[in-house]
Amino acid sequence: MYGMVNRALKALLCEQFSESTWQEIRTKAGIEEDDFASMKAYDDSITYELAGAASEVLDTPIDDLLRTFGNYWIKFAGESSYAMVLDQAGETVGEILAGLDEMHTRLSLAFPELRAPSFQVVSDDGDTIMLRYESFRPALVPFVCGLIEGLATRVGVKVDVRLVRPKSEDSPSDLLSIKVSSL
Amino acid sequence: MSQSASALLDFASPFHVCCDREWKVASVGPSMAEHLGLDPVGLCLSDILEFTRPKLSHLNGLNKLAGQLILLKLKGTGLDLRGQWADMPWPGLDSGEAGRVLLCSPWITSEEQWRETGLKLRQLGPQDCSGEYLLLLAAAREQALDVARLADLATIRESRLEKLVQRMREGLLLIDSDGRIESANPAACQLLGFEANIIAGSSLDNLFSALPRQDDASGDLEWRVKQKGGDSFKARGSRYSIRTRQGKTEALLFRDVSEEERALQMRRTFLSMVSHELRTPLTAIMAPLGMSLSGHLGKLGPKVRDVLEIATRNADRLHQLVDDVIDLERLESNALPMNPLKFKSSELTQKLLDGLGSVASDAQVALDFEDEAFSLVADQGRILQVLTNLVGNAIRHSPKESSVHLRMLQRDSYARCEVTDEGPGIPAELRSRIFDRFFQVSSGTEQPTGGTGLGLAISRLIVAQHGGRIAVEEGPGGCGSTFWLEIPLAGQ
Repeated sequence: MYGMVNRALKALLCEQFSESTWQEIRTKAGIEEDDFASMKAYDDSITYELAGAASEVLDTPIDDLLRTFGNYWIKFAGESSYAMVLDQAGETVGEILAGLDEMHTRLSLAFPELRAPSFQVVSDDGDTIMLRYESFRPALVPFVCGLIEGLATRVGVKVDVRLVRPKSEDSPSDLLSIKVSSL
Repeated sequence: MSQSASALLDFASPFHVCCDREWKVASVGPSMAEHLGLDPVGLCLSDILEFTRPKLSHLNGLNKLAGQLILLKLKGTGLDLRGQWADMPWPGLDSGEAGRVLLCSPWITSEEQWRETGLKLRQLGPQDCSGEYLLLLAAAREQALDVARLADLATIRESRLEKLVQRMREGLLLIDSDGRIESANPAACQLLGFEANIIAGSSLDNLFSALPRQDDASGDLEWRVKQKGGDSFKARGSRYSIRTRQGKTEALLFRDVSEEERALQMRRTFLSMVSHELRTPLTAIMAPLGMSLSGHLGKLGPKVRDVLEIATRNADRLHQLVDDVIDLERLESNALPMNPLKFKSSELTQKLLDGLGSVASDAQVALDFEDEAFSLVADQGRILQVLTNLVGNAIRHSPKESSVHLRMLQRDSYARCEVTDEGPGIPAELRSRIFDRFFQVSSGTEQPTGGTGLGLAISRLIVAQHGGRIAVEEGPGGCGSTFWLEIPLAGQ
């Protein structure tokens, strides 16, 4: 994953806990880097190790932590140089989700080592969006749920995101239901 | 490119170059044009830019560098630039074909200017500003922020290190590949008595003469170091290979140990003197104790006998300690010459059995000796002293009903002796200190073993004087300890 993801995780932990908590987590995870370059690709294992260690140190279930991180990721990206990219991505949660694959294709021009997941809006009746999420990376559904919640906050609505059908041998994608309501 | 998009690009990245599929320049940013002082349109990209890192033999190599930081020079100006390349499908190029764009530093890093870019973007509308263009600007900005942030961090780290180097009490020299001193910290200048600018460029060999290494577990090196004015001092330290921005170099860390050595010598002399002084009265105490216990001075009641036996045991222990201290001092000052003679390994095993058989039997520990029966040249008495110490220690630390194994092995040109016990073992972190004088491993459950704490230090010196080595490792299967020593078969 690109260093920006790890920077976001560090920022979340420092902001919501403390710099010393981050150092404890980093040490527990056995990660030498204390800072990450946004535009440099790092091994996925670094992010997984950090998230795992954070879950242990903070005594928080990993799924809860990933969901919080997903939510925070949108805030972090929204304060970065990519804020304008997010601004242009759409005005509703459905629009943004429907354009995510295209956005990732564009991002791959700037991030050649990007191995982005795929999002496909199956249906959107204005109240409920059915979304297929497919990634070769395991265990990140809670992160995606948090990310969608973060997007909703950014466009001024509330969402209830649920995993309807996890991926299986028959289906390579997770199916999520997103119920949209006003704040 | 449409005029409005071009205006935005000029604003957001004044050092940009747009070119066509044939690497011919289509347009450049205003700052780029100003520095070049010529109209570059139609020139090849390589006519105006030199790619310094990575070096490119052909411009097609750029195609693999999307998203990476590229270092460039603007030809004819010597201006250094950082660049970010993207093969982007720019709409509106004259040819109607897809174009390429190279953004060059300085990039927008201030929040204010970045927000201004956003406002211009919104004014222009989506038809003029593709998402790709925006992304490239954002990526360039993130990269510029990365570089600035990481450079700040590196500067902070360097400044902390610099302070440490300036304030440390040890001398630190940086040595180039020709063995010349590149730089010296204040402590090094003070120790050597020269100003830093005078030391720089001096040959290290003119100032530092390596001394033969003592058998020292720390791995430190020792030198005789010349000072300004012709005086010299003994120094101890290390040499490291390090990487700096200028490439590979060597660092030499040293400290003056003259005072340490003087203090150590005084301690040794004092200890030796006290030990010698203790020996005479101790002998005078032990002789009547022995006579009393043997009944030569009359029959003893059980209580008196008990008290005398305790006194004798403690006098024996004190005697052993005094002997050990004297041995150690003589070994360390090379005043205990070895007397190497040829003998058979079986003589050692027999003497060990004779000397320690009853001790083992009292401790209910079995002795298991394996001897490959070979000859060697060594000081038999001193090697026996080492093995007696090792086997004696093994017995003392062994649980009842266990065994101590001694293996006498012949290996090419040296003899190897291994003593293995089934005791509690020695924690890995303590093994390197076990041969230090007065160092003893204690465990909460173990009873005091009665050793002087000098036996292994003496053993190490005896083995070193034979040109050999001694060490300890974990016993087989992670149980107990194995002490081993190796000495040349033919003697030193």
